Amino acid sequence: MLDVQAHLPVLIVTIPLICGVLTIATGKGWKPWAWATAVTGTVFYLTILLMQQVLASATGVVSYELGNWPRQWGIEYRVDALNAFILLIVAGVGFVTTIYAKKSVEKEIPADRHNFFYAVWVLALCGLLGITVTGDAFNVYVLLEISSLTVYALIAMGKDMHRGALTASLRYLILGSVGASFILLGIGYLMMITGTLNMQDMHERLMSVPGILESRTVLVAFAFLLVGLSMKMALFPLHMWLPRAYTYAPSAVSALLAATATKVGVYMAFRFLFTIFGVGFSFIAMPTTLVLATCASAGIIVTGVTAIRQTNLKRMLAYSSVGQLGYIVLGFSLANVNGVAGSVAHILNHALMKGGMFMALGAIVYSQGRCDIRSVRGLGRKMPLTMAAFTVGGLGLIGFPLTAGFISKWYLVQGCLERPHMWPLAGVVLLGSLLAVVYTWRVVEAAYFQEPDDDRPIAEAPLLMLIPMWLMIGASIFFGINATFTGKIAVTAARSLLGVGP
Amino acid sequence: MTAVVLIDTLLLLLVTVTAVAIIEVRNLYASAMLTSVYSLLMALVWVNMHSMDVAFTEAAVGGGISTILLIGTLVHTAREEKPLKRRVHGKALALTALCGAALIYGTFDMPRFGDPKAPIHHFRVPEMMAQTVGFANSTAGKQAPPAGFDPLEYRSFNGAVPSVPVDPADTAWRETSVLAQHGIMLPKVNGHALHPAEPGHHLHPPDDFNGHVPNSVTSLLAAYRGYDTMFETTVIFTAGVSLILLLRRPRREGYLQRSAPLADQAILRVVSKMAIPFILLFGLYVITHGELGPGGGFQGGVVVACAFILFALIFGRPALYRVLPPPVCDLLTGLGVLMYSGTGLACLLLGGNFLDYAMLDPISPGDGEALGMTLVEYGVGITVSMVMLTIFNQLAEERSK
Amino acid sequence: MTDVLGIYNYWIYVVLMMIGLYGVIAKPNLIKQAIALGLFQTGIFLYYISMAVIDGGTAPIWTTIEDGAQKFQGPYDNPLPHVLILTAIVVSVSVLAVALALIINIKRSYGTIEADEIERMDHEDRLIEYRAGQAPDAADDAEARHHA
Repeated sequence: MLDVQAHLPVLIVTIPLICGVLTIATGKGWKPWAWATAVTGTVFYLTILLMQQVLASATGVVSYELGNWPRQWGIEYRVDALNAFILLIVAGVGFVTTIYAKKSVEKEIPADRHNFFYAVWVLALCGLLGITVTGDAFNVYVLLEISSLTVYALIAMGKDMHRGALTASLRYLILGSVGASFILLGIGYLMMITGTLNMQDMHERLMSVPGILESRTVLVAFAFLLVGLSMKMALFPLHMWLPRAYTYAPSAVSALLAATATKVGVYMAFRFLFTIFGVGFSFIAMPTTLVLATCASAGIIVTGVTAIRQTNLKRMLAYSSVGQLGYIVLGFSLANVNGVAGSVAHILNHALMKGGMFMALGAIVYSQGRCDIRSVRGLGRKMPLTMAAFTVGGLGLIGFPLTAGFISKWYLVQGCLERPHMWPLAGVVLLGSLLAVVYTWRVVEAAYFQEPDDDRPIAEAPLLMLIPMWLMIGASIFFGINATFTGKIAVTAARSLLGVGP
Repeated sequence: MTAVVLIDTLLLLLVTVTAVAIIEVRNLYASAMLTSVYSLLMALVWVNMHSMDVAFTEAAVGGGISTILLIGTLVHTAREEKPLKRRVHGKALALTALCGAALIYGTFDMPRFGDPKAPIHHFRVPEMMAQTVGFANSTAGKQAPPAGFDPLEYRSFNGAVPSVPVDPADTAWRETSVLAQHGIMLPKVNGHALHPAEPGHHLHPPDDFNGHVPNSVTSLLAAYRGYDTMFETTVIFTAGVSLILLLRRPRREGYLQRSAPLADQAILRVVSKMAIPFILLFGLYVITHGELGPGGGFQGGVVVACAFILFALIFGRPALYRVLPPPVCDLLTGLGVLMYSGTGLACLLLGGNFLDYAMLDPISPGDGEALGMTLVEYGVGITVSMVMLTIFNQLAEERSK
Repeated sequence: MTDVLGIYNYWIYVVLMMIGLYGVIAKPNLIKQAIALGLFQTGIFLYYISMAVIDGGTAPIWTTIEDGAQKFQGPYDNPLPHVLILTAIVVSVSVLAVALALIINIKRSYGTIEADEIERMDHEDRLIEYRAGQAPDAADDAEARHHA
């Protein structure tokens, strides 16, 4: 009756939508969590099927027209290797984090709200997946607003633990709405000049009509889109909302956000810069490489230094996240195959490592109530598996060989060295690794080499938290050792974005 | 200077002055009321620009709901803004001046206001306007295209206009789209109506809907870009759920026994008792009539919500909870979104793509598209009205002392 | 100069947008910021709708036929930006609702809705957290145990 294979792109977004709404009816206790886990698991399975479909297709693109309207007039879902990869990451992380969420949500959110919390959680995933799969510019804006709105509510639910969650969420709301409004303005300028909203169609228009790329309107549209997207990607110096948001959000929400929200922002930047405007305009005609590379490098160094000075470990990891996003932006600002491939690979690797590390911190909060550098002392002995996960994640951040971080940094450095004047950026990449060594070592030293303040018995984290944590960290080691899959997809995606043949 | 331009300039001047006043006034209640005035002036500006649906939505949502939200919040927070140390914030002024200069720089290459040569008027939108988009994917339930029609040529039309004639009255070039060449586009400005209406019917576009939808905005909203509207409904649903998450508090004992605040005012009581049924009826009318004139699910939903909110204000929230208990309200909120996505899913299960209303043809022969659009408009209306009511309820919750 | 006459209305929309943006950045009162955000977004909507207007056009609703003669023969305005702005208005009011809910919660937790006072309280919270989380060095440790 239903040919699932033919409708995969739309099912990936519609199933979380319908089931997210139905979550409100699931009642109390463990039932909302179980329902959310089932839904996210199904969606993860569907994204695997979609990836297989994309890899097996002749053109490398799966296109789905909603309402059966031709794509130039209706809304199109367009999935190529890049999309499918990011869908896989977002759905996978969503699934694993939902399993993890049971214990931490039980502790941090009042019991009578769980069904509403998981409803908003699943809808957030729906929004993030929708942004990644759509091929229509205005649809991206609407889904961006869904994902943003749900995230504001999720972050603010940390208010029972610390009132800072409220200001963090409101600040993110104001800055995020201004950024989204800039993106809306950019889309409007583009629509005025090209006359259409479909991304492929816009690109063909911009390439074919003579003189259109020199018009001032397109220039201003590009500038405002870049600013709006930088706010969403948390590119330095527009990253001010991120540290507080990740610190005060509930632990499960921090893990989900760190691995997905900003990555989807990067994906949007890919689509706008590479697919709509094209590499020729974005990187050769405009000084985008210079601007993005400067901001990214400054971000890596400044946030690395700031991270070292933090006592609250969640805030430390939040600053570290901004730095790692700097790597991703640095990669694609180089606009060569190695750079973009490194960027795409780092999206996966960072998602796995940071997600795992935030889960570890969440486990510490679960057992101790707080996670600063003092409460972590001696935990190496009392919570060995948790601290081991954190340490391996930290090695990944540094870029230690055999971890996934090494693979993406390798591509990035190669990309930097290929461009004649960009070799100082390779130095920035290595400097960033050095800073990561310092702030990871602080935690490792406190956990393994220092004595705890008192002798309270501290149990290891519950199994439902340990398994997801080690799934993520284990995956980062696996992809570090066996980089074939990641490398192949990243290079394919980079080639298709840059418009060079396979 | 035509009358239209004069009115336009006057309205925009009023709007700008109101905007500055909203920012600068210290009393927050005054600011909220000025926001309501601003929304109404905006609605007038949009009526002047012939965008009826948008004006309606702005008046209902901006003028009505936003004001209720703001006043509901001000009750819980503060009356006045703290006096500022410096009257004008220098850095902000510099930043916004820079932004504004950049935006104005971008306007120089824009098509002028009302220019018929603008790409947006002759590239993809004319087919949407004439509601003839579906011919290329002819499925059962969509009209068959005329003989000699080539779907490939239709899809790959690149909007190229070889030369634009000097005479503004000569507009035939605007209909050089493929459909015009097949004689399908309507209307032609030089007065030839190609498809006379059947007697007793509205002139309707030769739609590949099998229903009649004179309002092109609704056809775009519910059919061509129906997927966007589904997510818009989800956004408003999410706002409702977020407010429940953030603001709902466990019910205290005895709150249902509180007396009605305004029911002892005779005029208010009598007038609202007479008006509320008509407001509800009007809301339902707007939702249903949205395909034929300005209106639709959003506007109608807001009007229905206003009826309930008026009832709550005059007769007290306990009376509202007796009429519409919160569990029912929560249930109906989700029902609207499920109706919308359920319609799409039904189309999926019946063999088409998601939201392909032509698949509903077996249920309502010859009118599948119209049925689909009606269902989704009702879904939108139900969700919007219930969410607005939910938001009002959460903001009006009593503070525990 | 005809150039300017055709586009000066865009400049007015830009002015409106910038008034809103100024309010978001400059005003410390949170409710003012929320309202100004709405103003900024309304300016953008005005810009979109102005894209749809065509000379001599009317609302994009097909008119009735009476006695065989068409009532209106001119071009119709473009319905696409209208649809987009309907969506955007609803999104804008949803964001406003969530912002106001957050502001009510902030008032309950912090006691004020002025951003500078809240910033000060947040800073104090962070100082306390910083001092509690700092690892005292070994000498302090030993001394503390000696006195205990």
